[in-house]
Amino acid sequence: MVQTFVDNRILCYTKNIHAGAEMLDNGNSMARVRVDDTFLSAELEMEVKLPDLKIESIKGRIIRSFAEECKDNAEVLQRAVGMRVGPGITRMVKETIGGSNGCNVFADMILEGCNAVIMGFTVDELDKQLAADDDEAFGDVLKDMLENNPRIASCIAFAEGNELRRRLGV
Amino acid sequence: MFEFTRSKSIGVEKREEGIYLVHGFLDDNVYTIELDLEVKTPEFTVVSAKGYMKRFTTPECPKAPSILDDTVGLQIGSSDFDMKIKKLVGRGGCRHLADLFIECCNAVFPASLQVHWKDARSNEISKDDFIKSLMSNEPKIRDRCKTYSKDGELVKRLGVSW
Repeated sequence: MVQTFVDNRILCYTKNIHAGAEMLDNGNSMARVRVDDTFLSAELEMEVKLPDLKIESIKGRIIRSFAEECKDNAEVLQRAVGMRVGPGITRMVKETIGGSNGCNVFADMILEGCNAVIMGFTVDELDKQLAADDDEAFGDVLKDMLENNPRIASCIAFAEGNELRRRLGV
Repeated sequence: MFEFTRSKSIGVEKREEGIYLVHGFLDDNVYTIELDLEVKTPEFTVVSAKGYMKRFTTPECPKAPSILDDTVGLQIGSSDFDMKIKKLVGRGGCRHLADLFIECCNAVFPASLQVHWKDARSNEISKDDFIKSLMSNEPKIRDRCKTYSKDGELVKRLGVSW
């Protein structure tokens, strides 16, 4: 059958972000972030010293941008050296790397890299916790997670008085 | 070997006049989350938001997207918008869902910009002239970053003032 009418749903804007973190042989963590959207393409590499969680080195570049001048902004990244990946990092990065004297793209990429480093620690732990053999064992894992985790009210799973807490008697 | 990887993919389509549909997808070692968002312009207000947790860590996680109903009517771009969403969607639901929500919201302005740029190009307007008119007509782009700041090379080169 010949199609006589096609609803035009071509995307007017696309964005892809990829962030990853790996452990290096020197014991530090390396985060790599790549952003590609309709207007811009950028990459970032950031080494985080462990266990201090301090940004030890960072480099990045804007490969493609709507305004050519954006490609000259990579030096703002050096302001991140020495920052600690921990509480307050979001505001510090947004104010120091982003803003009217910085680059918001790089600021967002640094935060994406920080998140990857932190999540890198979480994955292994979660993997062990969630490998329960049956419902009872899984219940014990969740109970332990709720009882021994300081993240009260950080999300729906840790909300006080939720169904899960009631069911497990936490 | 990577310990952790996260991919976020955002697509925006323009529907009827002023309405943008945003599709967001987050996939990492721990979570898979999808989000569909409808935003009305030029007000940049959230008209609808639907989310779906496909992979998660606790039985409570799939309930998180229900909090998205509370985002309807919110205006994107206000100075405290990210904080508001982190509190409302993040703490009330899931911080990874909030992260994807903010990413989707941030995509609407460049999407509308792309629509205007496409129109400008078809009218043979140069990129420099487009940026000049953008800075004259769109206050939120001024001083947004080093490139678009008053002292920036681009602004000096184009001779724009505000």
